[in-house]
Amino acid sequence: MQNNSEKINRYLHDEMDATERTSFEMQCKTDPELQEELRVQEAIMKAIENAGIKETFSKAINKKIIQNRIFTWGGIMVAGMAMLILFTYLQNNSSKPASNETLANRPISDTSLPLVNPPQPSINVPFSEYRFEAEKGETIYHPSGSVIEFPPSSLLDDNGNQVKGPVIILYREFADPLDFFVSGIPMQYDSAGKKYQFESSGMCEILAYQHNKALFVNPDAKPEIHLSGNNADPLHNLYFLDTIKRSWAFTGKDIITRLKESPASNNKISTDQIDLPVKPVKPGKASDDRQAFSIEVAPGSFEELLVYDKLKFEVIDESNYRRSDAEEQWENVQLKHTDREGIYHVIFSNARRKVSYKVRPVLEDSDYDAALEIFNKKQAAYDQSLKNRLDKYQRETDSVSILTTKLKKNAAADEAWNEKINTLVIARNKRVRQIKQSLLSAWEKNQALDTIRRQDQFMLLSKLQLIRFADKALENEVMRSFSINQFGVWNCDHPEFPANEIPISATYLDSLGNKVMLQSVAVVYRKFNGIIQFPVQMPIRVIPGQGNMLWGILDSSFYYYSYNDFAASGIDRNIKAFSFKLRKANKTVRSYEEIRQLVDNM
Amino acid sequence: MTDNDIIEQLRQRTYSTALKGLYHVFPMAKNYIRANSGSGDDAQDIFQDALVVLCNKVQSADFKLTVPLRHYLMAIVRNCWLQELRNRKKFPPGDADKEMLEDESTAEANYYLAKKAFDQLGEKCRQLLILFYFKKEDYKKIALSLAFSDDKVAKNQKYRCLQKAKENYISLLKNIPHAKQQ
Repeated sequence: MQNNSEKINRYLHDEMDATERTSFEMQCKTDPELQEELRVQEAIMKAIENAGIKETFSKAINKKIIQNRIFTWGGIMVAGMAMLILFTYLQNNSSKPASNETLANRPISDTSLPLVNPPQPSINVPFSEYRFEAEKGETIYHPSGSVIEFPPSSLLDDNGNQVKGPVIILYREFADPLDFFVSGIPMQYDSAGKKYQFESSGMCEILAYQHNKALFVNPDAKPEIHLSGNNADPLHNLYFLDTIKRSWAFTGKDIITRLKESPASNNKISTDQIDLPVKPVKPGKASDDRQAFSIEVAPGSFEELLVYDKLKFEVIDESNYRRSDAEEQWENVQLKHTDREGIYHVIFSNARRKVSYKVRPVLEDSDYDAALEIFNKKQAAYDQSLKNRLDKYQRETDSVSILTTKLKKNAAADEAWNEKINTLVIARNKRVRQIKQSLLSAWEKNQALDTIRRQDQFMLLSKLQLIRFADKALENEVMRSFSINQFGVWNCDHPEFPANEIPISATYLDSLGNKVMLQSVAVVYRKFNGIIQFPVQMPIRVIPGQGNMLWGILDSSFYYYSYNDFAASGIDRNIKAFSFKLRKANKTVRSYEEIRQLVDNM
Repeated sequence: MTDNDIIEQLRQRTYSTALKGLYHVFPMAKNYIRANSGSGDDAQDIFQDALVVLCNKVQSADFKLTVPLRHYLMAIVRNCWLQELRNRKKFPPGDADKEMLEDESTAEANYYLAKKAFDQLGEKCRQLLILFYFKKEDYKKIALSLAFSDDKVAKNQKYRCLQKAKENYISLLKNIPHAKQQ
């Protein structure tokens, strides 16, 4: 059958020589079954081609629509501004101050904003810079514990030629909600018309340059990134931020390596490899006397279930099942793994109720055999892949050993750092003495001293940051590894569909009750390594009863509404609008280090 | 871009370039579909279907354009939308055939069924078949784009998807026997 299919394919695509073609046509004439198969496959091939053409048109049309929308929004904004000017003019004439709310109600289009939109460009996660000879390749050890491997000749110029000579790699990581907030990288993911919120287990941005020109990845020698962290959740997928399509592109799974050693122990590291393919789950046969239902499984999750058509979930423990549950209008459905393989928790919720059942995946009698066949094949493929992984597994272990050795060199690095600081302090003291002895005016002296103080502060913070990185790196238990096919932002994430969120029209006030026109607002949920960003004019979404925190920036001032403020606010599901009396950080923030210190001490 | 230029672009399969000369028909198509109980999303979908039909038509050796291309495309749009309404059973079969460019031939009915058979596949299957047969990507690249563990898995999966599409098609044919004869 497979041979026929291939043969027909070659015939349809004109890939047969004359003899084979004649012979095939003769065979068709005498073999009605083959003739029928040819006819069916020809129709399907045409359908595939048409679908391909349609997809191409669809992308081109969407691009056109976006371009037009930007244009239309531009028009609306101009009209809006004209009305605002007229409104302000009338207000002034009637001796009343113009209201800030007019501005706040101005519509905002996502596409009119940059995709990566830091709330305050001067406060951003800094890049680390690495240099090496492109033809030789390099292994980079980032202070966070992450390792980036560049094979020799892994970089191409814009003509597709292999790059030789010195190159610059810029690299930075985004580890927690603050990093996501200041970077302005969107943490939303749209799939099948639904909006998901990313929970990150590691995100980084990597760029390569030579003579100020961007470089590209050589597809035959791709760099590999091993992100150091603590999250080994296999549900997380790998995404690339496509700045042209303005969306996250799902690119598959990363390799998770668990480091179980304590930082103090020697090189003995055991790894627990979690890797593709996903371990298949054997579905059961639906029983007549148990409750079962169908739910749509979110893309990119529960891959072990997505392979089965017509899958149902059968309630194992019916003790908490109520007949009326089947009639209830549920707003959210969540599926979760349990400790037992093949058993899941399904949670239905709406504004009034939340019910949870323990379920197992089942198929009706008629679909069961086909599903079992899929399971057997998947199981065989899984066993085979596990075997194949041993080599890769060994390589990961080796790489981890190198990292550990490198980290142990940190003491030496610290010494070098101390020496560097010492040299700087000596130079500084010398300059202070010069200032003292010189005939500079008092004002000039103060200026010079102030500069030195600021430099000192910066060096101290940078060192603290390095120490913090090094400590964390030694504590980290997980490496998430993946190869990259382009430079940009890469993210190990799990798209969550946050349940029980409510929208609130927010007004932001300072401690005196005056309105604060923030540049950007973000909500942080406790125990969720993500951030929900909102344009200030739009309603925010919070989860009443759970830990919420609100951050905002206005110029160099950092405003916040803490977990405790939220808990005491009395915000419940019925609240539609709320005035948040924000706290303002005592210090102004002019750099990443300063905002980091503020948030870490909150 | 003249009508002949656009037809040439379609024949050369440079669809994005061709669209630049055809996009101005989209607002007309949208107005027509919205005025005939369709939504904006329907309009976009049907307009894409109409463009596909146009592509197929211009590939044929005996294709001759006797009216301006935009009128021709609008006629296809109307045809596609009437077909869609009929499928949704909002429109009784047999009505409004006057608007058709030509009578629906058995071959077209079969292609319609094949489209339906293809659409019944899962998203991943559809993407896999498009990547392999339309975009001519190799299995390694496909495995990477669709997160299969390796090229062999992608190959096996492609075979299964193709088989599934054929099964869907045969099953649809059985339900509409007249579509089977050519």
